[in-house]
Amino acid sequence: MFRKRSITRARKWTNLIGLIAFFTGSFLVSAQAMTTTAGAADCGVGMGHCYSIVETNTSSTGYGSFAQIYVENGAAPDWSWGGFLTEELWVFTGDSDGYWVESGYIYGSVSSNGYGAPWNYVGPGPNWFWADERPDGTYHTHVLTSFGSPLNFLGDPVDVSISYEGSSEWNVYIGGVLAGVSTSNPCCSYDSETGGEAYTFQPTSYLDTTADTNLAWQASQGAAWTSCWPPPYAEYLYTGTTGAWWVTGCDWLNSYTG
Amino acid sequence: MKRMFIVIATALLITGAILVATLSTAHSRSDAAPTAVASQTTGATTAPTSAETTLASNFYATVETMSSSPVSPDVMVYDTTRAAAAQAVGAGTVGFQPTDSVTVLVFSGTFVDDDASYPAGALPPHGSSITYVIDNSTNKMTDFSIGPPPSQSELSELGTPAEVVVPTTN
Repeated sequence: MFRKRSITRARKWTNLIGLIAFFTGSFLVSAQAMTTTAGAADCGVGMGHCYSIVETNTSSTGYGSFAQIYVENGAAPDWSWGGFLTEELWVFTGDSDGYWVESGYIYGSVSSNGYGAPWNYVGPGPNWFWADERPDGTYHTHVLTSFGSPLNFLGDPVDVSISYEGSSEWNVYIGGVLAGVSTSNPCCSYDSETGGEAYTFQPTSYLDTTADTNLAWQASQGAAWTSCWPPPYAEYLYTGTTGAWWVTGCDWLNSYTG
Repeated sequence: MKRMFIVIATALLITGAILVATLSTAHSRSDAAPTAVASQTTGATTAPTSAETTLASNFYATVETMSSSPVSPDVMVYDTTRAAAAQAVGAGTVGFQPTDSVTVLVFSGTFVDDDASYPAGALPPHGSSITYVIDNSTNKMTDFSIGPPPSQSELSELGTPAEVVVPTTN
C-alpha cells in the first residue's frame, strides 16, 4: 500500500518534471528563434530595424556604388532613447555579406549615443555619417559634425558614392567631397543597397519625401561610373515612417510611393 | 497505458533537459563575458580628473544599455590626438587636423549595439570592447566603435590612460 502510493507519487513527480522541462525547453527554443530572426521581417515602430531599400545582388564583381540621395525633411523624436532614421547607401565588401561600408543622412541616435551624456549628444540631427564593418569584427561609426551642415543639402539631391581605392581601402564621398576612408576592408563587392532604415519607438518619427536616384556602379577600380546597378535585385518596402520614397535610374526599378 | 505515459514523460524530460543544456551552453558561448568584470589595466595609469570621471560615468550609462551582462567598471580614458586615435581605434580623419585634441574612452564587456545602423540582412554590430572618440574642441562624440578589444600595441599609441572606476550599483 505504502509502496504503491510512493510509486504513484514518483510517477506524478516524473510527469511534472518532464512537462516543466519540456515547456522550459520549448520556451527557450522559441526565445532563441525570435532573437535570431529579428530584423527586417518583423518590422514596425518599436519592432527592430525596418528598411525601404533596393538591393543589387549579382555575380558581377563591383568596385563601387553611387546614388543621388534626396531627403526633404524628417525627425526622430526618440533620438535620446536610441531611435534613428537614415537615408543612405550601403556597399558590401570583401565579396561577402558580412562586411560593408555605408554612408548617408541620419536623424537621431548614432550608435546609442543619447543616453546619459547630455553634453556629448550628437543631437537629433540630421547629420551626415558613415560607418563600416571590417573582417576583423570591428564596426565603426563616424558622425561628420565638422563636414558642414546637412541642412544645406536638405531638399537637394546629393551625390553619395563608396568606391574601392586599392590596398583594402574604400573611399566615401558626399557631394563630391571625401568624407571618410574605410581601411582594412578588402575588395570587392557584389551587393549594394540604397534607401532608408528606421529604428524607432516613436510613431511620430518620419522621413518626408526621400529618393535614391541615378544609381551607378564601377566595373573596375577607378573606372567611370556605369549607369544602373546590375540585376538581379531585391526590394523591401516599409512605409511606416516614410512619407514618400522612390528609386530611379534603372529600367528594372519601380517607383514607390509610401 | 500507465507504462506508455511514463515512457512519454521520460522522453519529454530527456528532451527538455537536452534542450535546456544545449541552449545554456549556446547562451554561455555567445554571452560569456570573461573580460566583463576584469580590469583592463595592464600598464601604467594616472589618476583621473573630475571631468574624466564625469565623462566616463556618463558614457558608462550608455554602454550599459548595450550589454545584458555586467560591464567592467574600469574605464580607460586617454587624452590624445586625432592621429593617434585614428591609428589605435579607427577614428575618422577627414575634416580634422592630425594634432586635434580628442578624448578616447575604452570600455570592456559583452556588447550588442542594436541601435547602430547596419544593412538589411546583417547582424547587429557586437564585440567585447566599445570605444568613443570625443572632439575636445566641441565636446561632441565623433566616432564610435565596437568589436574585439584593441591590442596593447594599438592602445600604446594613445599614451598613458587615466583609469576611472565607475561606481556601480551591482
